Parts: sequence; structure tokens; C-alpha cells
Amino acid sequence: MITDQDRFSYQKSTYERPTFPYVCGRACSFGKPCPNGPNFNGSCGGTTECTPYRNGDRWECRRATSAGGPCADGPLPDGTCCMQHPPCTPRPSLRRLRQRISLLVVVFIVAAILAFLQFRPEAFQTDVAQASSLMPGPLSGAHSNFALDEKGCTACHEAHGKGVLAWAEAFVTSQSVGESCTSCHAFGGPKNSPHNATFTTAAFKADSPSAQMQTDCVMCHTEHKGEDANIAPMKDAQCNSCHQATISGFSKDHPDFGDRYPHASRGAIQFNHVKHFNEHFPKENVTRTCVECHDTKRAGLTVPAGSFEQNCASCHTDGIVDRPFYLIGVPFMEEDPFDAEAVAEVCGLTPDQIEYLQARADGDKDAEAPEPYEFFYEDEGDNITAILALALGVPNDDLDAYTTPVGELYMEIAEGGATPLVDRIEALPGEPRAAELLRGLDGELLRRAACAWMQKTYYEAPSESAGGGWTASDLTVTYVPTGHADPVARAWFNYAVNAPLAAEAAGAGEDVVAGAEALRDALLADSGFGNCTKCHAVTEVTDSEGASGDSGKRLVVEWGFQPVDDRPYMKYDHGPHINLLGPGTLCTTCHKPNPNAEYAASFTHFDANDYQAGFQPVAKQTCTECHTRAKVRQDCLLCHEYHLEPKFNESMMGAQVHQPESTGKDGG
Amino acid sequence: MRAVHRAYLIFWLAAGAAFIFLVWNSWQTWLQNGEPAIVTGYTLAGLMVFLALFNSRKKLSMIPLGRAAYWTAAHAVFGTLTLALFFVHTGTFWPGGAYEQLLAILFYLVSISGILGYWMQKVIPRRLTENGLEIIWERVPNEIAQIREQAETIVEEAAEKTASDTLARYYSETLAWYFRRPRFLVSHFFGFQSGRAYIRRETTAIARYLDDDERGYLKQIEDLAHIKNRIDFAYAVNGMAKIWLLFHVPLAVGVLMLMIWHIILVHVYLL
Amino acid sequence: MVTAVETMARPQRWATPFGPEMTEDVVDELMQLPVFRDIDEDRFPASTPLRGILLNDTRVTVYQPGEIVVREGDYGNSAFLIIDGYMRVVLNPNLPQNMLGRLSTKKKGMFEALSQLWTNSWRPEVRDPDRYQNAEASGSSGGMAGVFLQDIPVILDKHQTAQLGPEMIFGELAALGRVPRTASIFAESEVRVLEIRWQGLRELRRFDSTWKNKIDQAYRKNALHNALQEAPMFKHLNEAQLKAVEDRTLFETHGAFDWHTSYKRMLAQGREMEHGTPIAKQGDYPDGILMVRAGFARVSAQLGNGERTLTYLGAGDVYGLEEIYRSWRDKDSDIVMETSLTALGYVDLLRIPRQVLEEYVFPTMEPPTQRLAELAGAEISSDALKEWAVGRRYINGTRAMLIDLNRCTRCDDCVRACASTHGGNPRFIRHGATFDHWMVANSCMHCADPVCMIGCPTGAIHRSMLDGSVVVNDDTCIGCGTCAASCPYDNIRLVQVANLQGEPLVDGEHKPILKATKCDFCSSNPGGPACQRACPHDALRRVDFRGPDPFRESYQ
Repeated sequence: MITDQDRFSYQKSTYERPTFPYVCGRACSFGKPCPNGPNFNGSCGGTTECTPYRNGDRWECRRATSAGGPCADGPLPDGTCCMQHPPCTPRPSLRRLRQRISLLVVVFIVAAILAFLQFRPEAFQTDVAQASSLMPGPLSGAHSNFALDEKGCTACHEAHGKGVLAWAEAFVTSQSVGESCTSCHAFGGPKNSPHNATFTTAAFKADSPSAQMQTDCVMCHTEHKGEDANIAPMKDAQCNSCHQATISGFSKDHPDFGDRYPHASRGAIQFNHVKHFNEHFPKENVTRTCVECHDTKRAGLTVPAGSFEQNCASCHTDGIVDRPFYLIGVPFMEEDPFDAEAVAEVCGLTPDQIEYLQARADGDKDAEAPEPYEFFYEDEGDNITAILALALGVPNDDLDAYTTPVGELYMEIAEGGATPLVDRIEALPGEPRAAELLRGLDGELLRRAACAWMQKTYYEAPSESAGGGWTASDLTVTYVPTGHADPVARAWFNYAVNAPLAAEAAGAGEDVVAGAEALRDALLADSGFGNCTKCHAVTEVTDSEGASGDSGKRLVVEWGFQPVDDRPYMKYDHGPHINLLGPGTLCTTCHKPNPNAEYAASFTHFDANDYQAGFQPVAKQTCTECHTRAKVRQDCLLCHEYHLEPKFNESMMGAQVHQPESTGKDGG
Repeated sequence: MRAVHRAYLIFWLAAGAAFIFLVWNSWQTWLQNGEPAIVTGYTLAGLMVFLALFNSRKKLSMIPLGRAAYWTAAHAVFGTLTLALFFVHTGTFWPGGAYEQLLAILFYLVSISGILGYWMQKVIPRRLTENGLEIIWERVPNEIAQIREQAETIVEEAAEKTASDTLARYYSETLAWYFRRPRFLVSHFFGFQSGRAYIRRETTAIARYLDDDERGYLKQIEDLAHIKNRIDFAYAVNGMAKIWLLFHVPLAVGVLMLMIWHIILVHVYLL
Repeated sequence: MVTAVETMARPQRWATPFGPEMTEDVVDELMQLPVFRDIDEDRFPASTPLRGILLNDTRVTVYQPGEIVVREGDYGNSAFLIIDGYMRVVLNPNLPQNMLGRLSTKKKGMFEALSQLWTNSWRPEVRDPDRYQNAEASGSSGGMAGVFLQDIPVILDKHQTAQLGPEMIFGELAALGRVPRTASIFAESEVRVLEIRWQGLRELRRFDSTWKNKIDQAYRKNALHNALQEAPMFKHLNEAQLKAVEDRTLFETHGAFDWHTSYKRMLAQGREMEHGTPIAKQGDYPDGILMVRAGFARVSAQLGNGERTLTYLGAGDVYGLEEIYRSWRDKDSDIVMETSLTALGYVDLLRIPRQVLEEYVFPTMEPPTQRLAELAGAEISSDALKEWAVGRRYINGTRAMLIDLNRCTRCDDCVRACASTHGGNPRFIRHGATFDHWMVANSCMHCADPVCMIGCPTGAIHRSMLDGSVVVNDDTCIGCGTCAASCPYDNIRLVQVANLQGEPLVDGEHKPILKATKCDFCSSNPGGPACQRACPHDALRRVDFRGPDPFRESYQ
């Protein structure tokens, strides 16, 4: 017992064997464990303390000294040991128990992994996906049904569900999860380049250290973070790690906006705010506010102005309809190229002649035979129209050059109506489409006008024309614009602005090129057809539709109002800012008119970037009044966009859709 | 300074430096839009394997592999580092995804049990020493059996010598329960005195029915009971030190299994 | 139910003779030598006749010139008797280590040590019975491939030596005293030597008085000379002075050689503090200093009604110096001994008379440090551990297993480690005497004075030549249990051995074969003792109790 003085003695205390895996069952129930311990295989069939030995005719006890030596009583007469221990139920030792539990844990975990190892698509639907041994978290809301697609998870993860060998291979090779993103997502530039930029411009130089950098979608976009997660959580520090000019805070050290912000290039429509508000509106006794023209309900990057009809027509329609297009007219000629007989044959009698004959037929002997107006062409004629000069390929004021061709042409017109003219026009370089250019032109009208002039008379229109369209007056065939956005006018402008370039590219003669330029200039002049270019800018663009093919230049008339989006990496939303500073707060808080800007001059040339806005540039100080530390958000991504024109490959109605700004519900 | 304390100091410094470095490295990687979880992940894997090697080291004492006391210091310190690094790696306290959540649960349980084990290892030895009685835990059943036998012998002798069966009756009714097996284990573990209170109560309860001779025997039984109380204390406290490992090691095995699965998945699906 | 057993022959004392080539003819020749011829054979008991001793406990070896017979520092278990030829004892200076080509009993290599991981059995005490058929004699100092000194004349020139000739005996000091060899001895010419293992020496000494005197005298003389030579307090003396001191020094032995028997008895009665032979008493007239040569003595002073241990003295320590020196310096003849001296177990003392000291030593000696006042002034409580260690005779232990109970979580990793280095069988038990928060566990302490070796009939228990630890040669142990009974600390245990299938090994009469087992300090394992390496809480240390503060000792 523990109180014995000699309890450590070698006769009383034997070695403990902590590595033996079994414990006598009696010990587990706090009885006295038998000294032998369980069998080596963990069983116990009961035991005795010695194996008696028959020495002569007596049985002797053979218990070892370490177990106490031979016992006092000795074996029973039949040779069995007197110290019997009935069987117990051995238990595993704590160590053995620990091994078993560990093994159980291994088995359990492997079984759990296998049990929840699903590859069926339905297993990855949002709710059920949680019970999977593969998913590290649900997909974000927009992507959450991917698993149901035919390709399923393999859309992004090649090795999914492909078996053990494929997994082994995938384990040792690099996976490219980001490759599959562009099956839906597209950009204005290469997907693997920083900011999707092509490094060939002033902003992205070819020798920049980032030019060789390859990005991957998964560098910034993390999936499997939950349905509502922000999958592109970017912080300013990450922007700063790439941009050498680091910015610690917008209000602190973001550079000033510069004097071309936000209007670096001119828009499609020339509207001189300064002049209108300072001169035109007061003169006409008209008062206008910004929001009467600019629709705040559609405020976004821009607050778009309403249509021409809504805003401008009340003042500017007259200016359009009183500038017709001169198709043909009475040329100034010193000779008469027309053969009177031929003319008479083709055109018939002049009205005077008919009147005379009528009078004669009525018995009026005093009727005088009409005298042709001999000096009709000298008195009434003028230079031929620009288009006629171009079509005939002659200078419009060189009567020696143009007299004969005009004579021929008018004869043909008298005979064939519009067709000769159409043919000649369509033969011009620049692909003029007569169907558009001469739409609505009645060949009969042309014929009669031509006849009248060949017969040296004024053309008399049968009736007053109203509402625009092709008309002929005494001396000209003109087209009067029906109003704003007249299609014929548009067609003539579209053709005429590019005619000189087209003529040059086609290698036409000097005269043709000069004629084309004359036509173009006539239209672009202040008195030009419809005065279209008074408001619509003509801009030189370089693209594949240019006359000389790839990277060819061409001129474009900017018919439609497009908001100027010359800063693809900037985003701004007027919406939250309107009325921010109180109801009715004026746009001029940020957009202050600049009377000194040479706004109008910016539209006299074709370079959209050579521009002085009619407003003072928006200063950074205006923004930092609110967007500063401890006030409103001022992180990089509030105003800057990383991707270049993100859009989708799949589109609605055949048009490429600009990808809407999607933010996670967590406000990222 | 004791060599083991010096070892702790060195390990803490190393762990602190490693942690700072890894946090800095993660931050730099994140700034450059890399994946910081790769470095922290492999570091975690290496650390967990190292921690698990402690078990193997204990089985390999036949070759000189460094003092186990140093290994314990390394295990505690780098276990703490692992816990800290876990949060740097996951970026959150609760990951998404079922199997990752299971991994996190098991990891937290292992860490908690480890911290408990560290605390026990600091506190238990002195408690056992101050108990005043040293007994090998595996010998407790034998000892209890002997004490019980002795108690029963005393009771029998008392019945014989004093011709009164009060004690015998009292023993079989009440005290036999006490001597059957270790009692009041929870009280002993938390350092309370339920055992002594019990003895005090029971001996007082019966004493009033005994004469002087019988009281002599009662005193012997009471002395035995106090010895047994000490043994119970040793059994409870020493036992807890042995049993906590039955939680810590299997949990760690679970963590390692899931860690392997995690590494496989990450490589097959992402890297 | 123990069903199957395996039978083998019971090992006998002379089952493995010391020298297998000894024959009756050689014994005849030996009996002609004067040393043996004059012995009265009838004095020897029938179980161990003289001829039997010569046949089984001795062997004849021939050494070539230059061959090293005995190396200083080695532990040896035999004495030597020169039959013919000459040898040289190297006295001063000692031969350098590299000349001695120390032999090492082989430690296991790393892989062999590692392989224990899968070769260990958790069946208890498994042995390969085949080994027992081919057992070798233990601890022999001969039989090593001879190591030769290259240049004898140079050595003779450079080192002071003494010549040993026929009929001279040497080496008995180490054999009987259980201490390392004190000098190196090499053969000068071709020499025939009779090596007597100490069990035989013991019998000769026991049953023949001539041998007893001869051995005792030689023992005393050599011990004395070496001890005086090495004492720091005589270092400043020249040859003549040292010789004068030596001539006047007396040699005393106190206590019993087998002190453990009486000690165990008193320990069992709780009176262990009373055990010990008084040598000098507090208050005696200081007539000389006592220098401990071997063994332990306790210095104590009266405290109340008991004796308080101030310190204990081991080999080389001196008693009484402070008092005598002060008496000489201050010319004060009233100074008395301030402490008592008691022999703990058995002690060899040198008594150096006061006059000798006053004449030759004190004038040129540094004054001794004043330790007694400091020791006596210490708080009583602070001596408690020391008292306990002395009372328990733990001071004998050079590698005691000391466990700090305030760090030990009782996890038993130490026991498992011990088992893993011993075929799955632990060699100690994690229990033992405790005091405050210290436990000295029941693990062999590899005593400075290993009394367990005294009774071993075969010499199975011996000092390893490798590192001086006390080990049991399992192959030659006959399981008599003498060592286990002798050990005052209950650190040796007999076990019943089994074969590889776990069946107990028994002899012809089905009596179980037993073997003695104990801690061997992992002598044959790389890396030293596995137990202290394996403790995860730095609680277990193997400490040398002879050191200044074993309780604060750093890692061995």
C-alpha cells in the first residue's frame, strides 16, 4: 500500500510498461488487476500466477521472485495453480484508445469528403452548394447559375469531375482560371494588359515598364466569396503599388485637374453657351435655365440636352429652311450651245410660243411672234453650281470649259429626265448614292427646267411649293430642306465632306479634286445647304473606313449628339450631385462659363481635340470641398475605371452593350 | 537563465520575426495583385507538419533528436504562430464553404485544446506535488483496491472485537460507495474540497453512535479515507493531463487530413 | 494461464570462465609459484576451491614489449600478477591520451539505434535464447587488440616510471576499490601475466591471510602516494617535503565495506540518520587533518538535540584544516574541532599529523577559505535538501535521476524513452523518495561506491569501460539477486525473461530464469541517457550529487 515504507522495494514494485496496449479489465472497474496483465492479443481467458511443476511426486509452485516467489500454499493436489484469476474484459490503454480515435477521425473525414464529393451540376446551386466537399464558398450572384450550364464548373475549372488522373495532372500543372472570363466579358483592348491598354499611345508608352506586364483576371477578381460579395475588392493601396506616382489621398495629393477638364475635346454640336446666354437670349427676350435644356432625370456622365425639336427649333428652324441646295441653274454663257431645232423638237413649244399660236388661232393678227431672249444666258446666267461643275469635271467659273458640257447635259436631261444627271453623279469618286442624294427629285421637273432654260425662258413652276423639297424656280433647281434633320441634306453633307479625299485617293484629275473641294466648301459655308455645319461639327477621324483603307483618315459630320467620352478611364455621375448643394443649385457651381474662350473657332477646323471649351475647367477644389478625408468617399475607384470600355460578348439586339456598373451589395 | 527559458526566448523572437515578415510579404503581394494566400498557406502547411512531428519525436527518443523540452517550447511558440497566421491566411474568422468551415472548426478546437494543455502543464505539476502523495496513475486501481480491502478488514475486525455491527452497517450503506472507486473527480480537478467535506460529514454522522473502541476503528477508517482522497485528487488531476491528449491529437489528425484535401483542391482548381 | 515455456540450462557461476584457454595443466604450473604454493587449500570452501578459482577466475596472457596492459583512467575489474618478465608503471607525468589508444565498447550507430523503433517488442523482457549459449566474459581488460607504445626509451626518458617484476601484483586498487586505474602500465619486455578477476581476488583475500595482507598493504601504499600527489594543498611542496609528509601520513579506514546491509536495516526503521561510524567528534583536540581518499564522510555540528549536517566530504576533501591552521597562526592552543566527522558507508582516510603540517606545509601555504562559519550560519531550512540527500546516501550517486515535481506532468515519456532504448523494457520506475518538490527516482545512480558489485558471483555487474557507468551483462547474469538485495536504493530489479514468442524461459525444473536489470545510462546508445532527453518539461535530470549544487545543476 502507499503507506508502506518499502513500497519501492524491488520485491514489491515492478516495472510499469506504458507501451503495452491493454489494461486489465479489473483495473478499469477499480478492482485489483491481476499481475499478468491481458494476453498479447488483448484477450483474457483468465490466468494463473504460475505453472506448477511436478518434481517427483509433488507439485511445486514456480512463481517468479519478481512476482513474489513461490507462494505459501503451493499448487492444488491436482496440479493446478492455487492463485486463479478468472477472466476479465481487457480494455485498451489510453494510448491505444488515442490511436483508435485518431484512426476513426481519419476514416470519418475521408468518408465525409467522399460522401459530399458531388460533381453533378445541381449540387452547386446556391443553397445546396454548401454541402459539398469541393466548394470553398458560393459563387457571386451574377455567376451563381454557371454550374447548371452544360459545361458546368469546367467552364472555369478544367479538371473538375475529370477523374483522378486529370486531377493528378492538374495538381502539377498551372491552371488558368482567368482564361474563361472572356467568353462573356470583353474590353476595348487586350484582356491581359494593364488597364486593357495597347501600349502605343501617349498615355501608354511603348517603352513603359508596364508594357510587358501580363495581367490575369483572377489577380483582382475573386469568386466563391458568397452571393453578395464584392468580387473586385480593390483598395487605393493596390493602385498605388503599380502607379509610380503614388497618391495617398484624393484631397491630399491627387494632381489638379488641368485646364482641359472635363472638356478636352469638342462635342458633336456647337452650342456657344456664352453667346446664347449673353447675347442671343436677351436679344430675343428669352430666358432660359440650364435645366430647361439639360434633362436632369437622365443625368449620368452627362446631363444630356433634349432634342433639337425640344430646345432649338423655336429659333433655329428658319435658318435651316432658307438655305437651299442648288442642283442646276442657268449658266452664264456667251455662246448658245443649244441647237434651237433640236431643243424645239425635244422640249416642244415655249409657253410664249403656245400663246402666240393660240392668239393666231384665235384670229389675233396683231399677235407678235415671241422673240427668244437672246441675252438670256448673259443676263440671267451665273456660274454653274458646284455639284454640276464637279459632275462635269470642270471649274465652275470657266465658261469656256463648261459651256459645251452643260449644253450636252441639258439636252440629255431634256431627253432623259434625271438619269443623265444621276449617271454623271454616280460616276464621281466617293461613292455618291444618287438614290439618297436626289431622293424625291422628279425627272420631269428637271426636264422642264432644262427645256425652259434651253429655250431661254424662265421656268414657271406649276404651283407654289411649300414645305421644302426639290423645286425649280425661274433660274434654278434647288432643294429646300424640309426642316431639321433633312435626309437629303444629310446625304449631301456625308458625301461632300469626303469627296475631296475620295477624289484624291481615286487619283482623279486636278479639276475633279478642286471641284470636290468647292462642293465641300460650299456646303460647309455659313450659307451652305441647310446651314447644317453651323451646329454640327465636322471631325476628322482615322479608322478602317477611311478612304485609304486601314488607318485612313476621313471626315465625319457629327449628326447625332454623343456625350463626349474621351476619358475612358474616368467615370462621373451627375445624378448624386444635382441639387446636392440645395434645391435649384446651379450648374454653374462647377461649370462656370468662360467668355474668353475661343469656342467658335474650335469648330472651324476638323480636329476635335483642338478645342477651347466655353466653360472654365472644373477645378479639383470644387470636388474636395466634399470629397476629402472624414467626409465623402474619395477612393480611386469612385471616379476611375480600371477596365477599358467593359462590355459583353453576348448582346441584346445585336448591339454591343456597355457593361453596367455592377457593385456588390456590400457597397464595394 | 535556464536553458529552456532561453530556448523559449529565441523561439518567440524567431516566431515574431517570421510573423512580421509574412504579414509584410502578404501585404506586398496583395498590393501587387498577387495571391498572398500561397505563401502563407505553404508556411502554415509546413508549420502544421512540424507541429505534428512532435508526436513522432516523442516516439524516437532512442536517437538524439534534440531535447524534448526544446521541442515543447517550439511546439507552443510555433503553434501560436500558426494560429496567428491562420487568420492572415484566411483573412476572416469564418470562411465560406462547408469543408473549409470544418477545417476552421477543427483548427480552432485544436488550438483551444493546445492552449488548455499549455495552461495545464504549467499548473498541474505543482498541484500534484502539493497534494503530498505521489502515485503512478496506472497503479491507482490497485491502490484503491488495497485500501478498500484494508478498510473492509478494519470494519470486520471492528465488528468482531466490539461485537457491534454499527460500523459494518454504516460501511455497507454509505462508505462502501466512497471506497469503491475514485470520487469527487470534478471537485478535485477544480481544486474544491468536496472529498474532505464528505469525509468530515460522514464521520461526524456516525460518530455519535459509537463508543470509544469503535471510535478508534472509525479513526483508522477516516485516515484511510483521507489517503484515498489524496489519491482521488491525483487520479483526477493527473488523469485530466492524460485525457486531454485524446482530444488534441485526433483533432490535429483531422486538421492535417483536411489540410491535405485543401491543398489538393487549391492546386487542382486554382493554382 | 501461463501455458507454454521454453527450457534452457540454468546459468552457473563458472559457466563462463574468465579465460577459456585455462587448463588443468596451466593450473598445475601456477600452483608451483610461491604465491600459490604456500596457500592452504583446505581453507577454501568446496563450492569455490583454489584450483577452481585459478581455473575459472584467472587467465594467463602474454604481452609483447611496449604493449599497454592497463590504461590510466579506465575502469578495471581485475588485478595482475606477473609470472615472468618486466613491466613499467608510468608515474609522472601520465602518458598522453592519444598514446593509449582508448578502446571503446561499441555504441550503436544511428541507424541501429533508429531500428529499435521496429525491433522493440512490447512483450516484456524478451531475449534471444541463442545468445545465452555463446556468452562472453564481462568487463575484461585484456583481449583487446594490443595497443603498443612506439618508443619505449623515449618514454622511459621522459616519464618517471617504476619497474614491476615477477611475483608483483598490481591493479588490485581498481579492481577492489571500484575506482578508475590510477596509472598506465606497459610491458617492458615480453611478459607473462596472470590476470585475476576481482571475484577470484575476493575469494583469495577472503580465505588466505597472506593474500589479504599483501593486497591490503599494496592497496594502502599506492593509494596513499597518489592521493598525496594530487592534493592541492601539497602542490607547493617540493619532492623532499612531500616525501617527508608521506612518510608520516597514516592510513585509516572507517566504516564497513558492505555498509549497505546495516544501512538498509536502519532505513527501514527510519533511523538512517543514525547510521555511520563516528571518526572525529566536535570538541576534540585537533591533532591532525583528515583527508578523504575514497568514500564519503559527513561533517556535522550539534543543533539542539540533533546533529546538523554542514557538508559532506568526498575524495580529496579535508577535515579539520581550518581549526588547525587558526590554532597555528594565532598560537592558540584552546582551539578545538568545531564539527564532528562521521563515515557514511565506508571511507578511506589519510591522517596527516599536525606537526608535519606545521613544519612543512603551513609556512608556505595559502590560508584556507573560511567555510565553516558560513555553513553554520546558514538558515536551517536552507539545509533541508542537503540533510535529506545525505541521510538517504544519495551523495553516492554520480548520475542520480532527479525529478523536479513542480515541472513534471507525470506523463511517463521518460519511461517510454527508457523502454525504447532497451528493447521495449523500461529500466527504472518513476517513483522514489521525495522531499519538498524533488524526487530521486528508483533508477540506478551509478554510484561512486557501487556496493551492488560486491556480491556478484560472475562479474556480470561491472563498470563499463566506456563511460564508467555500472552495467549488467545480461548474457552472464545468473539471476542470483545479490545485487538487487544489496542496492541501498532499490534500483535493481530481477525480471523473468521470455523467448521471442513471449514464452517464459525456465530451467530443467521449470524454475524461471531471472536476470538482473537496471539503468545503464544508455551506454550503448548514441546521445546519452534517453530519459532526460525525452522529458518535455525539463523536469528530469541525471545529476552528480557530489557536485556543489546538484539541485541547480545544468544538463549533463
